[in-house]
Amino acid sequence: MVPSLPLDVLVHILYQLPPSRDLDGDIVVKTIVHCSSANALFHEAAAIPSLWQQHYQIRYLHANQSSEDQRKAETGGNWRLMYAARRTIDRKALKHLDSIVMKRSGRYDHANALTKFLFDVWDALEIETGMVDPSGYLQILELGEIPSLWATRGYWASALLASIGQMYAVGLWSSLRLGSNSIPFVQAFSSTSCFFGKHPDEVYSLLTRLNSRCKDYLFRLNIPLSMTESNYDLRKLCILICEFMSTEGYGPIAAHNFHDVPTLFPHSYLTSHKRTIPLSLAHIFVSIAQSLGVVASPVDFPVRVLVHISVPDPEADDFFVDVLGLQNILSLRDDIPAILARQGIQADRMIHYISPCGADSMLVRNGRNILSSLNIPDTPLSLIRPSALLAFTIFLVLTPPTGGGRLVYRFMTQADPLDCATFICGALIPSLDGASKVQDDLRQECQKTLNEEAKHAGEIRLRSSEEKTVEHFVGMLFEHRKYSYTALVTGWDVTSESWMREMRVSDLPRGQNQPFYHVVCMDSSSRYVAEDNIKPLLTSSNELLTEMCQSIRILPKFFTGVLAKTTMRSADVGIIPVQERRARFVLSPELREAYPEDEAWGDAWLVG
Amino acid sequence: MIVVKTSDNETFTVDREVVERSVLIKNMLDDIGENSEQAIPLPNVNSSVLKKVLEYCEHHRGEPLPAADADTSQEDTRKRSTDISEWDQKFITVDQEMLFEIILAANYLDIKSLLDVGCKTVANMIKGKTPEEIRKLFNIVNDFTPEEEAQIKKENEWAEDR
Repeated sequence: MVPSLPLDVLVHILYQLPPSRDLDGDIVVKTIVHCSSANALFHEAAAIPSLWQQHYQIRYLHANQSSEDQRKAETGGNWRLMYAARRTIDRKALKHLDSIVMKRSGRYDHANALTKFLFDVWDALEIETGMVDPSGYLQILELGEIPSLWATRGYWASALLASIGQMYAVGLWSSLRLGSNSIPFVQAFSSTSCFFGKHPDEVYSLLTRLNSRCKDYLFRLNIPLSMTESNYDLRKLCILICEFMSTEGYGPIAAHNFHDVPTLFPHSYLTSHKRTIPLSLAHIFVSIAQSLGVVASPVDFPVRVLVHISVPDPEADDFFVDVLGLQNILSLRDDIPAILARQGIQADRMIHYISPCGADSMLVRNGRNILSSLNIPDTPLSLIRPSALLAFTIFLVLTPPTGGGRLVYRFMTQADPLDCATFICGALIPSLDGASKVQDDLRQECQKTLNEEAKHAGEIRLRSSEEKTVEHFVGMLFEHRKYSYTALVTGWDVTSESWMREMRVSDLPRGQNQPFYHVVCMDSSSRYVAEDNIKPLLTSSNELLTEMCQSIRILPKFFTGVLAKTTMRSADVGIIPVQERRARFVLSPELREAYPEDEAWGDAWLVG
Repeated sequence: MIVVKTSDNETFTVDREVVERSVLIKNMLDDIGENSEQAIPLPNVNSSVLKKVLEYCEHHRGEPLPAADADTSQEDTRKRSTDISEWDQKFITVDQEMLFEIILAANYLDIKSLLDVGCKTVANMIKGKTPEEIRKLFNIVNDFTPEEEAQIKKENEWAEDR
């Protein structure tokens, strides 16, 4: 006879179920919920708020501050009720995510609804991105296995995180319009990383840790940090901050890397790209200096990037810091006028360049840096789109509207339907108060993009009902006959699109009268290829497949995994068979819907 | 040497160091003094369970005891896990009745590390189980009124499968 356990032991058992931020954590939480409906005593044990505190704090690292405060007030701070409230929101979010993953039509309405929750759904989406394989790459399986949807879900979850980040950043920057300096430079500048799916806290905590390391560094050197101390020396302090930064590995970027795009974004230059451009170093310097009570701000100085230091003593001059300079400290009376004079700037116009400026000027300056870097050929495609969107967004929000709508046009060439449905309509357009022409143009362009998308979303292609035979299938790997690059089919048309007619297709054996394929290449670029130019890849090594899965970021949008099949084949009787390893990519729900017959065709080819 | 007496009137003679892993016994000894010849009565533990408990205490002899004021709810969650050492794992592989008896004894005798091992084992057993399976395991019945049942269903709505 099993003895019955008292309440305190039941509580202790429930405490032994460890919280975690993954599938296992989900099972644990469900187990506690199941216990709570087993009997009254268990129900009492599972209701203990502190039991839920650990689960809450492991799962929920982010929230909209105001809604979190409201939840706290409404639940009286009861962790179990808070947890239930957050999970209820997560449920709604994940339902939207399901629809986004499973169906192309209506996808962007769901995205719009989901991103409105902002940071309240951040954790749920972030957990989705790392649920099974944190790398998020597609898996290579043997024929017969069924890939999961995780990579595809993770792809969409990451894209939605970036959308939420963009909405937050635009909201923040819009309060800088009309010259308001309500948003501190460090915070506004850090938010550029939000365009890459980074939560603002991520950059904030990198900076905070750096600030406190600098404090320790100065403490070890016995440097007075309080103005009230008699030997407090502001100039020396600023020089030491620069020295600290170089001990941490920060420094000037080599000239030939000057246009390396990652050096422009805080989440990169605070971690992997510490050799960076002057503006990035000024951002870090101001963050550290301010944390030490120094009144430091950037100035809109020509050619160089300088930081203005306000000196508390009314008798003494303010001065300037050149973080990278051979001479860190520049004086207001001698050095500065000399530099400005060399730039051809007269004394009467000097004041603009040497007064502390707001975050807006620095953001615009970074926007210009980004655009000039993007013209450099080696920039990875996956960085170009978010970087360009970021730069144009900064210009749209922070520079006065110029005629011609050229900026809107350039911006919209980078925007995809997700951008239109989320941050452009939800944050950017509303933020552009007083620029009704730009607002109208953007609204119109977004509508156009979304209408176009809706049109394609409904298209279904059945090879069996085409008059022409479509030889190849979505998910097939091939080599281009003429240019020898390897690529992957993502769609087909039985006639070429109109713009292709001018691309000398008439030179091909079958001319215009053949199927054409949408393909994605190793460098993530999309192309359009005639069937005559396609040579199916009969053997795909795992190295090739792995490289493909790792380097084409957009792959999980189209596919959920790779199936491979090794067979011995001979072309004719009497010829020694050779080993082939054919592979095909498994269609994501959206492509399966658009090409319902292609998977069966692909499977036949795998074994055929 | 200390003498303890179980609910079924068996006596055990044990090293003080071993038996003091029980905070309950340690406190008693501190109260009654070193030289008492009297057997310490343990009316809530029978001899077969105490034998197991003493085997555990003997094996862990000399290991530091947890701080007396360590509060379960405040404990660092990361330190706690469902991992159990190999010896403990083997030790706790007993039938379910004995497992629960050991837990009750550890709870009564206040041997925190043993209570943890027992509860972790039970936690591993219930992980992923349905309410009905949990009832079966603990030999308990659904004692909710239909109204309570409806209320609990509502309360747990967020955890239902999508």
